[in-house]
Amino acid sequence: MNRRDFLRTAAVAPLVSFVPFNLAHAAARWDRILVLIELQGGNDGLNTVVPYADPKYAEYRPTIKIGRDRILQLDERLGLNPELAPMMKLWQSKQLAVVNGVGYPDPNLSHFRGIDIWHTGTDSNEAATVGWISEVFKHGEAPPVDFAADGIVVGRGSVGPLKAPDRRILVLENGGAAAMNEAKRMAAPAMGGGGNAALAHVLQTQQSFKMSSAAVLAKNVDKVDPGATFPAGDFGAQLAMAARLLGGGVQVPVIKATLGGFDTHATQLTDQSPLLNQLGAGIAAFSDAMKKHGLWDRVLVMTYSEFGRRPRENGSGGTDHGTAAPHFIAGGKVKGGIYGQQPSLTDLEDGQNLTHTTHFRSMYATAAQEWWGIPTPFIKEKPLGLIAT
Amino acid sequence: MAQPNAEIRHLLARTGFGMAKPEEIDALSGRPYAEAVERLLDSVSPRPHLTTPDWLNVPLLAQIEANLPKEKRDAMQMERRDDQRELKAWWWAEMLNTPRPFTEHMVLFWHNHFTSAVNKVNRPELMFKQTALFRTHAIGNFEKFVKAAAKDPAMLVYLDTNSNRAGNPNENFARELMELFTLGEGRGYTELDVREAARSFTGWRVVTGNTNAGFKVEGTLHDGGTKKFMGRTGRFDGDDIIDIILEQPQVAEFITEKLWLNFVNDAPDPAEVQKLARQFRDSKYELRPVIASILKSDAFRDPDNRGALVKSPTDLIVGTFRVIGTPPANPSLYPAVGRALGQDLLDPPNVKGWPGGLAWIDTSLLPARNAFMHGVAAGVDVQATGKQTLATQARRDMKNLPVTVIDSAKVKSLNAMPADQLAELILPVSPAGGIAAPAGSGKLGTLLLDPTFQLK
Repeated sequence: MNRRDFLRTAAVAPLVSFVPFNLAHAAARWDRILVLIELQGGNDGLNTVVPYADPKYAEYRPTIKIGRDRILQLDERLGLNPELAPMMKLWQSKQLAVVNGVGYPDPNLSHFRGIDIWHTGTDSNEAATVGWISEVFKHGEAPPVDFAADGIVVGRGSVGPLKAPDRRILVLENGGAAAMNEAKRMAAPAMGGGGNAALAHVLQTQQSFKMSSAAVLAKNVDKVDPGATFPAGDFGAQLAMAARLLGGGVQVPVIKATLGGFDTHATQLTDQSPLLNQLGAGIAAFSDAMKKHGLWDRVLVMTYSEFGRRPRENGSGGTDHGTAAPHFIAGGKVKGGIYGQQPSLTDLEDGQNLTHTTHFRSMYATAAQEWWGIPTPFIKEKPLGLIAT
Repeated sequence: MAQPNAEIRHLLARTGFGMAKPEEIDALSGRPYAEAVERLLDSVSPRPHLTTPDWLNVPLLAQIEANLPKEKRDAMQMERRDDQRELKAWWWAEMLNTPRPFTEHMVLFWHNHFTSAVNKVNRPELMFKQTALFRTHAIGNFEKFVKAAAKDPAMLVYLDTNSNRAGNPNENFARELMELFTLGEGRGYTELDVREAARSFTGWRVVTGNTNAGFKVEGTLHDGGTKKFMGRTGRFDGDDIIDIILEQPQVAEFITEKLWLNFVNDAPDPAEVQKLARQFRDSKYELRPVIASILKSDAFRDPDNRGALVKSPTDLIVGTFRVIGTPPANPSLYPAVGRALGQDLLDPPNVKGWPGGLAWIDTSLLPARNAFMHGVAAGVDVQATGKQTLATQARRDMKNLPVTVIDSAKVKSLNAMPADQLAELILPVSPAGGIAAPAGSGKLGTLLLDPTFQLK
């Protein structure tokens, strides 16, 4: 059942009939936080979690393959890109899940439509304007009203999965100092707009921003020790900010960070390596920080990207837009291991692309149902079963 | 200063940068509205107002292609970074200074359509050449424009046509050509069409000759085989593909709708768009007449339509300083202001450009915009009273612009206007009110901080 079907059916059927029995009447776990990491541009999965034992891998990638001797082995078929070495500690302590072949039917290879589908959680041929998390909050359960915000985006990324006209989403760039200063002197806004939708939008945004900022300001997060040394650069700074927010006690169910630059149409080896390096070091530092703050069991880190890339390298030492790719889920409560099948390298869609083996909404169902305990009958896919009880 | 003509103010705000100088409004007033529209369209010029940066004539490309030692190459890369900054500064200065704001409005519109980013292209001289192309075709013929844009050196680099070759096609340009430049996402093409189009553009290359970068087809890299594209079969090249795309009625609809969103409001009337699109297509894609029809339409002229669009960061910065500012003494300060407010000109967020509309204001961008306007109001106070008390705050909030970017004579003359006339000049609609502005900034400061100042 997709979202449209749900909305049609919900009007005539009692909602409870969709709720799995074990989740019925359970209160949502709002002490639990979802930390999303968007890999912007379409991360190449085959050079991230490498199917090193498959001869097709080396065949498809004569110049950009990761040498077998450099792979960090996960099992007898798959291994991590060596740039992700800092994450091996999480793998060994069984707190890192590698989810294989994440995608969806009729994949769209456009950056914008691709990320739109991921952000709204819709089918390929369906368009929506509300982000999937805000959809969970709307049809499942909304975060407590005394929370600072419904979501905080650290850094310059889009609000994507949180997008909704009526959600309190705070975006804190460069540590958020400028935003906080502005909130302090912003006048209490007039409401309304007198029928002018653009003016109403200005006024509403102003009010929502002011309220959330006040709640964050109360926690003095700039004085909080992040709890670990984060990699240099903007992405590391975003995760450090996330650690300070959570360590400082800001109540928020979702934090989103963004690492950009994955659109590696050319010179992929040169361009993807430093990005994976930041990703691996960043996630490792974030887990250290959360452990120090005693929050690691309350955090679920999840990566996503608009698509994976083509198995065959192109003529520019890069890869073009593709389909399915692996993603990472990490946290103190995660049952580490490999989930989902590695897509076949021989049986390609249209002779070009990987066929997905795990629907991306399974990751969303995992976050909503398994992590927060929110029934999500409008997500037809099943959770991955990777949260320890 | 006489009562500003509200309809001419609206026309200039929407075709320029969100507001207009009193003298610009006066110059177009006192004639039939339709005539004012034509006068405005007549103003479009392929030549910029400012002289172009001198490094544009240096044969950088040829030197870079040569096998220079590493330290020389590094030095050239540093130079290109400087040129990149200078190029951005130059365009901001052009927008702030030009007597033809409609021309630069259209250059920006096309920059946000046939998008390229200097951070990928890495060659500022190519990006300058691309904006020059936009100035040339600003309100010209869209068919010629698409074909020229497809061969534009910055575009060839930005969307990887330059590495698209027979046997190893790169689909980046072919996909965006249909999705973003002509048909619109998912409107009447398939993945197979994307692949076959990509084959047709193989071998299209940037010529890195002496001073002028140009275009050529590298025969050995071009796939001369038969392609099946949108139900047709032939040995197509890139121009053939564009011809077939332009036979689709969706193109005129897509471009007309985009023009509507830019000029009129966020809710295009489907029937009106159809009618305008038919005119556009029947005219063989002449842009000037369809833009004229939009600007003369009832929807555009409806007084309820005033203040219906959110100003872009560029509108907010350029429009404000065109009206109350001095000619920029240090243009290199402006790109950072645009970036802080969400619009780093010549480096759009991705190939889709800036989404615009209501998306200009969200919880991430609102604080930066508000801070900027607080800075402007503080600067107005300083320039109106001569007291320097707020100068530091003004500079911080205006992202390092000094208060001298605000013209004290203009501030005094505007604050001397009757309150209702000043409001009609500065704001698109009646003020929403409830604002505390710095005392010395006068009526002008209060209007600049009004929520309706964020609209056009």
